[in-house]
Parts: sequence; structure tokens; C-alpha cells
Amino acid sequence: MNLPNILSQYAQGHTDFAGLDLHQANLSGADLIGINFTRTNLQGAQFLFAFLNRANFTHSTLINANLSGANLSQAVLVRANLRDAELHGALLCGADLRSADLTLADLMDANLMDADLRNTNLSSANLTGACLRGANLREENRRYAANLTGATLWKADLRGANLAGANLAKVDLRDANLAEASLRGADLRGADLSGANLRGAFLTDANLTKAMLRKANLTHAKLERATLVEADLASAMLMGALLPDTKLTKAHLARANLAHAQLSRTDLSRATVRQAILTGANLTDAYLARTDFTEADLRDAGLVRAELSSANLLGACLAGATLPDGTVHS
Amino acid sequence: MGCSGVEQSLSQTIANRSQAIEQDPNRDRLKKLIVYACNRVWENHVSREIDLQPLIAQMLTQYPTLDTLQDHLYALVGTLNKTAEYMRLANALLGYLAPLYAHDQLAEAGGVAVDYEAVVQRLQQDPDALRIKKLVAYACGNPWQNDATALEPISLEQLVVQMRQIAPTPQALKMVLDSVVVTLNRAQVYAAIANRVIAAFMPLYGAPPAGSSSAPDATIEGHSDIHLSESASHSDVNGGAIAAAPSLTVSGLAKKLPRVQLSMVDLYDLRLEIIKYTCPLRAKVLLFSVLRHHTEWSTQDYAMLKTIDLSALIAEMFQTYKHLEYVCPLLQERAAQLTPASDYLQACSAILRAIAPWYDSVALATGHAMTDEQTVPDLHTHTHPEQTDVQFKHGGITTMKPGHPPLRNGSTQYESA
Repeated sequence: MNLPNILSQYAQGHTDFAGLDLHQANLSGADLIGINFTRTNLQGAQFLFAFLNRANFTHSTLINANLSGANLSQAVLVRANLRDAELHGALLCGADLRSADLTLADLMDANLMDADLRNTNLSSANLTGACLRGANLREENRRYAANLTGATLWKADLRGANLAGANLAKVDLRDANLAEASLRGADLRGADLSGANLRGAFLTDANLTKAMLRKANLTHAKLERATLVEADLASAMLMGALLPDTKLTKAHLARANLAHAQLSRTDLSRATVRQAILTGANLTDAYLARTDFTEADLRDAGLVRAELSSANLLGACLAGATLPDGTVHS
Repeated sequence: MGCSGVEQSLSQTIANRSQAIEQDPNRDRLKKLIVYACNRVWENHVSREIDLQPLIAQMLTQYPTLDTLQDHLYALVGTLNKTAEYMRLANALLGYLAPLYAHDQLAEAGGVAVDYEAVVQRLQQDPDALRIKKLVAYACGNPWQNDATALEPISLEQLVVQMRQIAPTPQALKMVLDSVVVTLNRAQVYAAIANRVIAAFMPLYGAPPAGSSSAPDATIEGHSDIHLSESASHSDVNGGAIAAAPSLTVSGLAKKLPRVQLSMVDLYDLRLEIIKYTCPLRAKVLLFSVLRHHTEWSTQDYAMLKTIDLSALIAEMFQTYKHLEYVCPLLQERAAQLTPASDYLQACSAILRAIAPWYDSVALATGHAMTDEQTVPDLHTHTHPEQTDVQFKHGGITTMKPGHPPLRNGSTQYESA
């Protein structure tokens, strides 16, 4: 079946074009709303600004296809092969992309609001400026997590997205909006979250080893049992953050604001907390071996049973702090 | 090295610098500037044969640091009617004379690790790396180059080193870049690039690198204006008219422009409001067309849009246009010119619906509504009807008092498409 036939049949109300070989087809600007392209070979096809709302691309091959500016709202792309596909500025609101392969795909400025991205492979994909609010990327049955290894999410909007258990190792998330996002158990080792907004985000059990979080906003974020070994949190905002049982060994927290943060049983050994604000912070039972608190503000902090014997408190302000023996520093 | 050795080395450097200035295509104007700096009297006819070495030596005595020399030169430039042109020449002169102050510079650095390589790397990674090189080369006193191949032999690292010598502080760097940006026809584009250059240079001033967001967030706080004499004005031998009105420097001008600060979260919310109701790529095409005056779109042209993200374009729009009354006809007219017009008009409507409340909030905060006397400029001739300085920061909206439309001084450099 050739292209003119497809378009004329579609105009007559026929929508099922499953299993065809349409590689390199040029359907740019075409109105193909609700079309069925299941198991169709569309490798290298052109869909620039095409209307593909509610189209079905299940198991189709879209390698190197150009879907820039296409409207794929509520389209089904389950197990579609979209490697190297161009989706620049495409609309994918509520699209079903479960188990799709988007390796090296370009999704710059794409709108993926409420899209289902469970088990998708987004490794090395470009998601700069993409909107993923409410998108679902969570781990499925403790397996098959979305893979974003090496992806670029600079300035991406992931507010409220579900990224629980997702693989975000070494991902570029600079200036990303992750407010209220769920990142429970996510692998964020070596990720760059500088300047990111993580206000109220759920990072329980997440692995943030060697992650870059300079100037990130983690106000009221939940970080229980998270691993932040050697993480860079310089000048980060952690006011009221929940950090009990976290591992902050060798972390860099210089000038960070941890006012009223919950740090009970936290391991801050060898961490640099110079000039940080810890007013009213709860450090009960915290492990503070060789922690550098030089010039830190620990006024009214709770240090009950904290291991402070080898901590450096040079120039630190402890007025009103409850010391390890339960006495209040005058 | 003994005292005589130092003197010998200094005189050699002066001779070397003098020779370099003699070979500059703008040597006559540079000489006039040097004579002006030394004698504090403007000479319209400076002999071409004048020996620069004693004058340079005099300048070294008069201005013991590069900072003081720079301040003085900029103040003098402000008294001339071709401010922008002479600002560029002053920068070139500072570049020539910087090696004479090299020892002072090292002492001033006070142990700050100067990692030029990291700065070069950051600049090279920028999507607008070529424009950055063009801008820095121009700010260092090189002629404007439209031809990318002509810039290839120039090392970016050398330019960075030279730029750092010209601008010993971040404030000076901003001033230098501002001074050249206004001479370019794509001033708003280069203003954003200049901000990124400043951000990349921050480690050279002992500050942590600023964020690399393309949204301009590199404004130098406490940046000092050059206050210029309102009476001093001079005629330039090359045909310039005598400045009748008080001179304004670029930095002074920038301060007078209204300033809006939006948080990054606000910007993302605004972007969301647009893409909820239109195709993000259509919105990008339309904004890019308006901001960069790009009218022809082919499949290849879409690749150009990958150099800038939608949030940066939105930020740039606020930065360029102060009133919704300006933006509205521009967007509508351009949307009607693009194909298919109906789709772009739909995108236009979504953009206007999203941005209108922000413009309203600015107008309310400034109390600056468009009056009947103000007319919407001719869309074909006014590329920069009025500018707003928008900053995207973590924080609320801060609006400063409304100011004047931008003035243009000096010649304009046109960048080829």
C-alpha cells in the first residue's frame, strides 16, 4: 500500500494500517488521529508536526524517525523502538511509552506530562527543558526501572513525577524542577543536581553517592536512610529536611542551611560542615567523628548522645544547644 | 634580577607594547586616547609620528594599577561623543598595556587558582561557542569577524587570558562586555551570551562558577557606574558631532532599565502554561522568529532551535520587550507570516494567554502602563522597541523603576545570518 492510498483510505474512515512497511515515509503535517500503526516499520519516517493523537504504535519501529512537533497526546507507544528518534518539542501528554526504547532519542522541550514511562530506556536521551510533570517512571515490581543513565534533564520539569527506583546515575539534572517528585530508592550516584529544586521531594533510601547538589533546594525534602557519601551539598538549602539514618560520610556541607533539619543517627563522619547553619537541628545519636563544624551555627541544636569527641568545633556557636551529656550550653 | 634588570625588562616591554599599538589598524585613535589620558586634554590632531614610549611610561606613573587606568580611561571615554567606539578602543588599549601591570595582577590574585583551561572548556561547551569567541575577540580589541574561519587561528585560551587582564574584576568584565554588546545588531542575543561569559569567568575572580543557565542570572551586584561630566564633550576629528546632551554609559543605561526578577519555578510554570495549550515546537519557532528575525523555516532550520530551550526563549522575550502592547502585534504579525498560519496563530494565542498575567504584574508593580503618547513602534524597523532586564532567580518578582528606552552609541556591527 502506498502513501496516497493510506491517506485516501484514512480520509474515508479506515484507521487500521498495522504491519505495513512504511520506512522513510513522509507524513509530515498529516492528520492521522487515532491511526493504528501497530508492528509497522516506520524507520526514518517523517512525522514533523503530524497529528497522531491517540495513534497506536505498539511494537512499531520508529528508529531515526522524525516526530518533532508531532502531537502524540494519549498515543500508545508500548514497546516501540524509538532509538535515535527526533521528538523535539513533541506533545506526548498522557502517552503510553511503557517498555519503549528511547535510547539517544531527542526529546528536547517535549511535553511528557502524565506520560507512562515505566520500564522505558531513556539512556543518553536528551530531555533538556522537557516537561515530565506527573509522569510515571517508577520501578515496576522492584524490577524493570526506567533507565535514564547518561540522559540530559537540564532544566527539565519533573514536579511531582514518580521516579521511584529509577536509574538516574550520572544524569544531568542541573536546574531541574523536582519539587515533590518521588525519588524513593532511585540511583542518583554521580548525578548533577546543582541548582535543582527538590523542595519536598521524596528521596528515602535513594543513593546519592558523589552526587552534586550545590545550591540545590532540599527544603523539607525526605531523605531518610539515603546515602549521600561524598555528596557535594555546599550552600544547599536543607531547612526542615528529614535526614535520619542518612550516610553523609565525607559529604561537603559548607555554608549549607540545615536549620531545624532532622539528623538523628546520621553519619556525618569526616564531613565538612564549615559555616553551615544548624540552628534547632536534631543531631541526636549522630555520628560526628572528625566532622568539621568550624564556624558552624549550632544554636539550639540537639546533640544528645552524639559522638562529638573528635569533631572540630572551632569557632562554632553552641548557645542553647543540648550537649551529648544532656546539659544545655550556656 | 637586580633593579636595573627590572627597569630594562620594563622598558623592553614598553617598547614592545608601543610597537604593537603602532601596528594596530586603529593606531591613530589609540594615540589620541593615550594623549588624552596623559595630558587630560583632547587633541583632534595628534601627530602620527608621536613617540608612544614616553607617553606609556607616563601612564604607568600616573596610573599605578590596571584598575586605576581602566577607571580613568572609561571616564574619559564617557566624555567623548563616540562612546561605544572609544569604549572598544579603550578595551583594546587596556589589552595592550595589561602585560605592564602583570606583576601587580599576580600580587592582586592573592593565591586565587587561575584555571583558564576550565573556563575555556566551559565556553567551548556552550551551544553558542562560536558567538562567544566572536564576542570575546571583539571585546579584546580585535575587529568584528563574521567569518568563523577567520577566528580559527585565534586561541580561545589566549583571548580568555587577555580578557582577564583587561577586566581585573567581574564588574569590569561586565562593563567591557556591555560596552561592545550595544554596538552589535543582535544586542539582545549577545547580552545573554555576555552573561554566560561572565558566569564562566567567575572562577578567575576567585568566585565559584555561576550557573550555566541560559537565562541571564549573572548580573554583578554592586556594579559601579561611571559618572560622567555633563559639560565635557569633544568633537572627534573623524566626523563625529559634538555631543550636546550629557553622555550616558552602557552600564548607566542598563541601570535605568526596569528590572524584573522571576524565580526559576515561575519560569517553568510559565513554560507549562504555554505548552499545555500548544505544540512546544510551534511556540519555539514563533518566539525564535520574533526574537531572531528568522522568517524562513526549512527542516534544516529546526536544528537551529536545538541551541536554545523554550524557557530561555521566554526569558529572552521578557528581557527584550517591556510591554505586552509591543509583544502582541509582533507575535501576531509573525504568526500570520509563518506556514501554516492557523497553527502559528493558535500558538500565538496560547503564548499571549500565558504571558499576559506576567506583563500585567510588571505593569502593576511599576505603575507603568503604556500611555497614549507612546506609540507602538514600526514593526519592520524597530528591532528593540524597549528592553526589560529580566532575571530568573530563586525568589519572587522584583520590579525596579521604569526607565528609558535604550540609546545607541557608536557604530553597529552586523552579524551575517
